[in-house]
Order: sequence, then structure tokens, then C-alpha cells
Amino acid sequence: MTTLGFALVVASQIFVVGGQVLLKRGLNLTHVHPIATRAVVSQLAGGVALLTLWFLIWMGLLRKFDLSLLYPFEGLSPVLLVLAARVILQETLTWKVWMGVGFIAAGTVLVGLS
Amino acid sequence: MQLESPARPRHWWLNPYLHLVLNGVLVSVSELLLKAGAVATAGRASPTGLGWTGITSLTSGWVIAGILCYLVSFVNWLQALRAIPLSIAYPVTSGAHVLIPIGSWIFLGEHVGLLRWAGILLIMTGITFCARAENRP
Repeated sequence: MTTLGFALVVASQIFVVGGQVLLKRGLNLTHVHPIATRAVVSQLAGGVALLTLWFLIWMGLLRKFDLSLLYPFEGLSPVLLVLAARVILQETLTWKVWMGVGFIAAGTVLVGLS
Repeated sequence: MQLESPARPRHWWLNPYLHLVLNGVLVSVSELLLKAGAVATAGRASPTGLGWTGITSLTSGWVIAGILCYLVSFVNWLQALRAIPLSIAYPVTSGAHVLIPIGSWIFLGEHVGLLRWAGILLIMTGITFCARAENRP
């Protein structure tokens, strides 16, 4: 994989994690009354924008590289996302989540290597 | 921030875990469609400066169908995410990494080796852990 390819993989991971965190932040606000419509809409729009960037980069990567080469990197995204949910959204993580994410990451790498 | 505990859904079809599963299935279908479209358009030249994106794939019918599937799955995702913590919901969407190889095996007749089945088994184990992680009252 080229340096540019690797940089695009890293960028796509950042956009996925950032986009999902923004979506969740916006949706969390819908449980607070009265609903701050403007904050909800802007965070959801921000999330969609980041996920759109992710989508364009992912299409580009799929065209240039085999899916089997890209898969092991996909195993990283649940790990990064759970870390972001802990740090940014302050979600409580039980040992089950860490175990689960560990299994998923290992399994994704195996699927990619096979 | 004071969070109101999300009320139990009034109807079974509003259940966030149902939407989480629907999301996983639709994402898998759309990923297979997108791959078909990406292969069909791989040789196409991109506009200058946009070579790093797959933007010229947008004219492929496979890609359009994939995007439509993805849009529907996004609505399911929002409904699931409203009630389920992100750190639980997102790992469960890795179910796509299980459904896609199984779908390729059944529908496309692709060979799935022992190592890949082992990986699929690990992912399913992980999803089970994550799906049971939520503390229910």
C-alpha cells in the first residue's frame, strides 16, 4: 500500500469516528426538553458531512485496493470509536464492551488475512 | 447534562435493537452493491484533482442502488442510536463483517476458507459481548 493510500485509510477512520460521535451527540440532545432544535440539526448535519467525506474516500480506496487489504484496517474502527465514546461522550464502558471490541478487531483482521 | 431516560418504545417496530439489526443487514447489502459498482467503473478517469475519490462511480446503477440501501439503513441507524449508547451500537454493526462473507458465499458462490470462518466466529463472539453490555434496569 502506498503512503497516500495509508493516509487515506487513516483519514477515513477519523471521519467515521468523528461523524458517529457528532450524530450521537445530536441524538442525545433529543432526550433533553425543551429540544434545542438548532444544536440538534447542526450536529446531525456535521455528522452527515463527515460521513459523506468518509464515503467518498472509501469508494476511492475500494477502486484502488483489494477489499481484503482494506479489511484489517476496518478492525481498528470499533476500537477507535469506543475510545472516542468513552473520552468525548463519557459513556460508561464495562469489561464486556472491551472484550467484545477485542474479539471483533481480532476477527476482522483474520477475515482480512484469509 | 440532564438526560431523560428514553421511554420504552410504544410499538414493537420502534424497538432500537430491531433497527440495529435492520441497519446491519442493509449496510451489508449496500456494501456488496457498492463493490459491484466500484469494480464496474474502476477504469474510469476522474476529473483533475478528484482522483483520490471514487466520484465517477456515482453514475453506476449498482452504486445508486447501494446508496439508496445505505440511506434507508441510515434512518434505522438514527432510531437505534437515539436509545443505545454509541459504544455498544457501533461494535454491533460489525455484524456486516459477518453477513458480507456469508452473503458472498451463498449468493456469489465465493470460497470461504477456514481462517475466514475463524474470523467470522471471533466477530460473532465479540458482537455477543457488546450486545449484552448494556446495563438494563
